[in-house]
Amino acid sequence: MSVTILIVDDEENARQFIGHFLTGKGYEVIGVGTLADARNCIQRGDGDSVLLDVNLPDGFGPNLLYETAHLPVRPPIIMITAFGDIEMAVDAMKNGAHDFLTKPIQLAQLEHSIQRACEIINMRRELAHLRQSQQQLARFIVGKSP
Amino acid sequence: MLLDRERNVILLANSSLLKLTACTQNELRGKPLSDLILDENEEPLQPGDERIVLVQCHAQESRPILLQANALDLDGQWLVLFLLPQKEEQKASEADRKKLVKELVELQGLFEAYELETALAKVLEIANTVLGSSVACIYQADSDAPKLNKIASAESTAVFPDSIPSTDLIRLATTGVWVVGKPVNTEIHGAGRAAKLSYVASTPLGYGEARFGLIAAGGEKKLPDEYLKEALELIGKIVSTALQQAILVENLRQENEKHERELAIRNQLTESAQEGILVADPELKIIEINPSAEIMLGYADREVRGQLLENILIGHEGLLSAMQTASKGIPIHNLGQISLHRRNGQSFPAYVQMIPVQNGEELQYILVFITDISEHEQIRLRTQQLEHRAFLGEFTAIFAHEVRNPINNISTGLQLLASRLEADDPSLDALGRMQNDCTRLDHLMESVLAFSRPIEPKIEPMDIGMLLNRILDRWRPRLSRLNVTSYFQVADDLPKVLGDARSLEQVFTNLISNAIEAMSKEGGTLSIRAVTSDVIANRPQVEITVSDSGPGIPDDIRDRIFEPFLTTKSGGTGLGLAITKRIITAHHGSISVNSFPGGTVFHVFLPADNGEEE
Repeated sequence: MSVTILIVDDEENARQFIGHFLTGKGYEVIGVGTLADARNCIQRGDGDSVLLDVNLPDGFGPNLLYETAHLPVRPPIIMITAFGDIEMAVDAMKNGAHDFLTKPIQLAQLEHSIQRACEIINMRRELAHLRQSQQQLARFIVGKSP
Repeated sequence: MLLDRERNVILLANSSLLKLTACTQNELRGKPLSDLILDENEEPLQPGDERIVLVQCHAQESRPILLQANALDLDGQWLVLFLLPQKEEQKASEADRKKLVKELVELQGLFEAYELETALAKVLEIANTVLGSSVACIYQADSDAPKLNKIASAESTAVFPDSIPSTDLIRLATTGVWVVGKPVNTEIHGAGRAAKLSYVASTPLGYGEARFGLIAAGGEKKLPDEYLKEALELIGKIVSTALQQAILVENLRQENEKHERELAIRNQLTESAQEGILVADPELKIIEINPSAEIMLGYADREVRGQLLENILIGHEGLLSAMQTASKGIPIHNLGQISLHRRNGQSFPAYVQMIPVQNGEELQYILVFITDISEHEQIRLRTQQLEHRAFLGEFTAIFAHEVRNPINNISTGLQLLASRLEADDPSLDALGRMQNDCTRLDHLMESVLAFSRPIEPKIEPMDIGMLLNRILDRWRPRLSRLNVTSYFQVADDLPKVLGDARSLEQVFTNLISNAIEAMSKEGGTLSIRAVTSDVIANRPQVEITVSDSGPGIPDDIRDRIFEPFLTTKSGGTGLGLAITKRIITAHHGSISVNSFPGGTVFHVFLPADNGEEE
């Protein structure tokens, strides 16, 4: 089962290049340019992992970290910060970001980071799957008793 | 004239009578007396009677005449009637003249004793007694409209209108008397007729052609024309003089007041001017110097009075020749930057102007203006430099930031290309080098950014309500001038905001100034509100809205207003909102806009201080 990456960046070329790269690596990609669109996608459960830029036309990117904190299953969020903005990076990590990358993005690093995100995603899926089968098993044992 | 008393017919008339009445002997002889004489007294004439009667004259108006009846015979069958017109008038006017002289003496005194208005009313009362009139009033020309207004009157009931057209004054340019039966061609005559007066007399006020008013008087019983005219003219002259004088005095008073005001302004200007000002007479002796000059030169005003200018203004050689030139009446507007000496010998750079003040040909004063440019120039340069540097900093920061985006994109693109090539592809090396250059450029931009950032924001808990209030206060005069109403509301329990006061001041000054500019044409409402926001559940924020009732942001640029170098104003840099957004992002806040025709609302979200250590 494939993993969908949500790219949130207002630079269209950035979305294109990163998108092409990730598609080439076998990921599904959704690209949006605003925080509002990103919010909608996450609410629909469209992104398994999010690649998030800081500076977006309609707001402060890291706000998405706060907004998604209450979700039962938060997709791993990889922040893209400007080079040298350590404070922002630390802040992001504190607020539950999966990773941070500085610009200009090194695609190799990006791939690495996403791979790690995928491990989490897959583990979660596995966990969910196990729970489900466990539940079914439990139901199979307990249920059907007239 | 000989009269048969029994038959009441005229027997004989002498030549004087014929001349007086302009009748012939035949016309009078045998006629009843009542044909010739109108007598109010119904009693038949007795010898020794003296009466004033009206004599019907041929083709002339009837005139009052003193009639003396003398018996010719013992039983008074025949009466000799003497008609004495001259004697009567003389008698009347002699008595009146005495009265008039007395009244006139009083008249002069009136203007000294009373205010103009009261004096005029009293004059008219006297005029009524002197002229035997029942109503009298004075008109004065209106300075704004072609009419004359009644300024004083002595009327028991208003007979004369409150104002009359100035054509009346033209028609009544000379002293004259209108009597019932004569054509009415002015309003005062019309008014007299309507009030059933038997006559209306008038005389213009003023001298020669310069007439500025009119006195009118009227009554039921008319005194002789000549007398009326003379008396009225006299009163007219007196009133003219008095009014003229009153006008002159009033003008003088106003002139004086104006001068006093001008003098007050001038003194204030001189006292508070930054420039040093020296006033000298044509001999170049100092008359006075202002406080700025005292400070600049180090002399007190009283020390330098009467001193020669050249002893006080010490400096460049050109200064002396400039003084000579100025004393010839030639102004020197710019002596260039010269060096002057203070009392203690210290020199300072200054601009000097010398302006002669002339009244016609005659040189009266020489004004010397000194601008001390030492301090002035330093401050000006420093301010300018700071402004430039701050702007350049912002400009560079935004520019660098904007340039980094495409560099990063190129870099990513190159990596994408590289990732698609085989590991031994010869192009890989070139791509790698290009990518290194991108990194270099990016780092370069980063150092530019670090260098251009003028002040590192100092983020600390701060009271945003107070800041907003302070900014708004500063704009208030401008708001009222542009007819903009402002509403300001801060939630009671508003938490502090984590921010840098100076940068945030820039943000809100910018937003408010934009809002006001949008409403500068028609006025409107500016409203500023600060409330706690819980848009993001576990991240307390403060939302500040700045809204205006202006025309709104055009559709085509609404989505791009935070982009740098985008401007709709002539002379705008297009950096205002870009800087605003940059500052807000640095605060980890956000800004958004709602705009529609009829208003624009900016929402600014800033992180609230929740007491945690950041």
